[in-house]
Amino acid sequence: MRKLLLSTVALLFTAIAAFADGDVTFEVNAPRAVAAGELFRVEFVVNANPSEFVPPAIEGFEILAGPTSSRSQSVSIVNGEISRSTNISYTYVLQGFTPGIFTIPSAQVTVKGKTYSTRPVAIEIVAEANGQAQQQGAAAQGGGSSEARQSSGAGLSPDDLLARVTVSKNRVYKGEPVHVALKLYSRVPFGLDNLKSPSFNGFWQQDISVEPHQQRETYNNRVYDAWVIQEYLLYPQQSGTLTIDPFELSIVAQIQVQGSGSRGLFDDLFGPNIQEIRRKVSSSPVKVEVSDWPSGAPESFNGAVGQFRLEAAPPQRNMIANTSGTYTIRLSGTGNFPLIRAPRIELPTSFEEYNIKSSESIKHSRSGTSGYRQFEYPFIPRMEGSYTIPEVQFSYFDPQQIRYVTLKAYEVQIDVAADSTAVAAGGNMVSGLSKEDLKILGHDIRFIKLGSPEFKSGGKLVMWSPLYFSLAALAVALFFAALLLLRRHLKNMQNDRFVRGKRANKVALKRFRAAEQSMKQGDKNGFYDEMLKALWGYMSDKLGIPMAKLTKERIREELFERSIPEMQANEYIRIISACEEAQYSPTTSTRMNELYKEGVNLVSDLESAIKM
Amino acid sequence: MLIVFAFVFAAGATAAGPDALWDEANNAYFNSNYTEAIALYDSLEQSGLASAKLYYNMGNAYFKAGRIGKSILYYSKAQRLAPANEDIAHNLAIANSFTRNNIEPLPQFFVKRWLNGFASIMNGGGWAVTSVVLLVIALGGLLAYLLPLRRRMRKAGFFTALAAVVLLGFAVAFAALDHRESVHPTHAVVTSPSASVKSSPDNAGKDLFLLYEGAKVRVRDRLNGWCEITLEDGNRGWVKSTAIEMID
Repeated sequence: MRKLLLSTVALLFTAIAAFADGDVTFEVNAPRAVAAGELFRVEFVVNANPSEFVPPAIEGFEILAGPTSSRSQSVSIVNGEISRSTNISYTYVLQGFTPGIFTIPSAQVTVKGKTYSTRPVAIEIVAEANGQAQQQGAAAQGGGSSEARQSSGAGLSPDDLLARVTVSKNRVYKGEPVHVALKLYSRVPFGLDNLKSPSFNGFWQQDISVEPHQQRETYNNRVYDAWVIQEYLLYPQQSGTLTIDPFELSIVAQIQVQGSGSRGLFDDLFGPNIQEIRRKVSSSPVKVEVSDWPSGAPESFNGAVGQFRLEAAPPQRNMIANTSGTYTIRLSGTGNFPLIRAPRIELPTSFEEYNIKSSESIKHSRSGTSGYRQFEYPFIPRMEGSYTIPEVQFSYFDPQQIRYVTLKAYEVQIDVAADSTAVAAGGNMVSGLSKEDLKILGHDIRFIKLGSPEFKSGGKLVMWSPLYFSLAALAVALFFAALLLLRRHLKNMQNDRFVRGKRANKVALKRFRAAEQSMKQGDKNGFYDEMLKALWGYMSDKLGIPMAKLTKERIREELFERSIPEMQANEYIRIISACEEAQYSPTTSTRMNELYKEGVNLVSDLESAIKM
Repeated sequence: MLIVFAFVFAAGATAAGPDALWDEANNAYFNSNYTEAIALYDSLEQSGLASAKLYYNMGNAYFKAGRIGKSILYYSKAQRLAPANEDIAHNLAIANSFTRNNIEPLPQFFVKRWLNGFASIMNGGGWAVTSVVLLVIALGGLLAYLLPLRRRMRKAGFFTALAAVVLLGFAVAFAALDHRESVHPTHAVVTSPSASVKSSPDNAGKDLFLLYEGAKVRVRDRLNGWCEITLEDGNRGWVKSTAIEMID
């Protein structure tokens, strides 16, 4: 009360500059729960200079003081810009005795002709079991810990400090967020020493950054200052009954004790005696029932739970090969954003895909995680052509409606034009070429053929064509004709030769006899003449060679071919040579008989040796 | 605009005869108007004319225009008409080095390799002529052998006939294979920029691998606009028949 008065006095001396900012707010601050008989304060605050204040009709409470108005003003200069703010508050000090819930109706202010009103607030008056509420005095005022509890004893009852874990829901689906708050309920001032956070097994844990704040709550029919120490959003990752383990707090409670003797001078000067008591409090475990998703999940479902919207930004329809494109998909709404995965996009195989870029803007609040998550799918089409990107599906489970929802982005047609820079005339190809063809790039294809085009004429021989068959047939027919004709001719010739060959011996013998006759008559010339005729003629008939074509060499060859010993052939030729020499020589008459015998013997030898 | 011009030009030149058209096309190539050259060569091919030179020049024009698949197709066609031509082999090798697929051919049995080398001495028509000539030689030898000539002649005739018959067998086989290939072509080239090869002949089939233009394939079977193909490395699958063009 003193403070209040002082500040009011101080404000009176402050220069007052009434002005109204753009937004006028008019709010009410009141505790949610009070103990019966407790003094508490209700404050109406407006951030402008009102022309009129219509106080609320307060019923169910006793108005001990008020409305007292106070004014605060602040001026701030930022970068040369001056901004001012004014707050005017109307304060009531109230007291309630009847347990129950009472409502303070709305108050109204008029600022520059406009009327603003507060929302009605409900205040619960709790009849506490022990009668200490009265002694608590105005503990609720100004933050609750400013004044100490009057306690007759030095003890701290176990009810004075309680640790609690509150969950928003006890039955959830997998992936549905559970809001968990760690709270400390106290009825005494305290200092926090140590906090051991609970472990959340089976949950994915997301801290919600909240300013530690305090509110009045009733628990077990007692009014406490409830301090929210930590708040979490928990996403269950498995089904079944999950337990949130207790958390532990080390607390130093400050309890005012009466001095052992009478209230002394020092007590008055230095305030009351404060006793510090260390206390460990822990919460009780909390069970959360997690049910699995129902069956019949769509194919594209992979664990997204909540309410989502899908926006797709496909790439433009006309692209050029080797330029990059992006397919963007944005999922917005409320749900387990940190756990959703990028939906699958089936890009054509000739598109080069790169890593999916994911960006998000999400806010974690008590009701869940909301915001958006954006996936960018960068790609580069490498080949010209017309491609289709099939529709993109994203499914989520809506735990409120207990059903799966599938969102779709429609299929997109993309026309990729050829890259005009990549394939220059005979030159550089796509940069992504992996084969080692740099060496050959120094070469070029050879120049076109000039001159006559040499078009295929119709006269060319084609396999299996009638022309081909007729040519082959002609060749075969000619073959048989030639075979028949030549065979007949040769047969005749052969017959002729054969006869001559058979008769050769006879003819030769006849000539030898004639030669013998000439020898006996002493006709040297006649003898040699007949001898030569017999020898040459025999060979001519036997070998089937006309006399005119016959030479000694020829005889030698032919006999050799018929595998007559070379000696005999030489002997034969020697006799012929001897006869030829002797024919015109005057002296060699004595050798006639010798030559004759040799000739006759040799011919008879050869007759059996030479085969036809 | 250029293409329209080319077509108009081509239409005008057709009347002037194939040789004039040929010269125009070569001029267009020389002046680096490859699309025009392709249009002109194409009109020559459309009119039913064929020659190794025409296909070779078409291959060159497509290559310069950056269409590797088509260029390999036409080089291959040229090579069928002139298998021993060294320029065609050279340009085909360069065009092949620009394809994106690196297909390692399975190693061939050395006899098959030799036979292939032997067969590429001349084209199918050449082998047909050779086979007739060899037939005549063989029959001549046989004649010499069968006639009651002298031993040496008959011997020579026999061996001549034997050698000629062996060669005749090869010549007929090569000519027949070439003829079958031209009646029922099995070799093809991928001419669309890329084609995915599926495990079955429908769009729902699983993608086995991806072929890029210029890849050489052998067609084994056909079904409803799909072709079953074999690669040189032995991989098999089904591809849309619009993605490939036959080397006929």
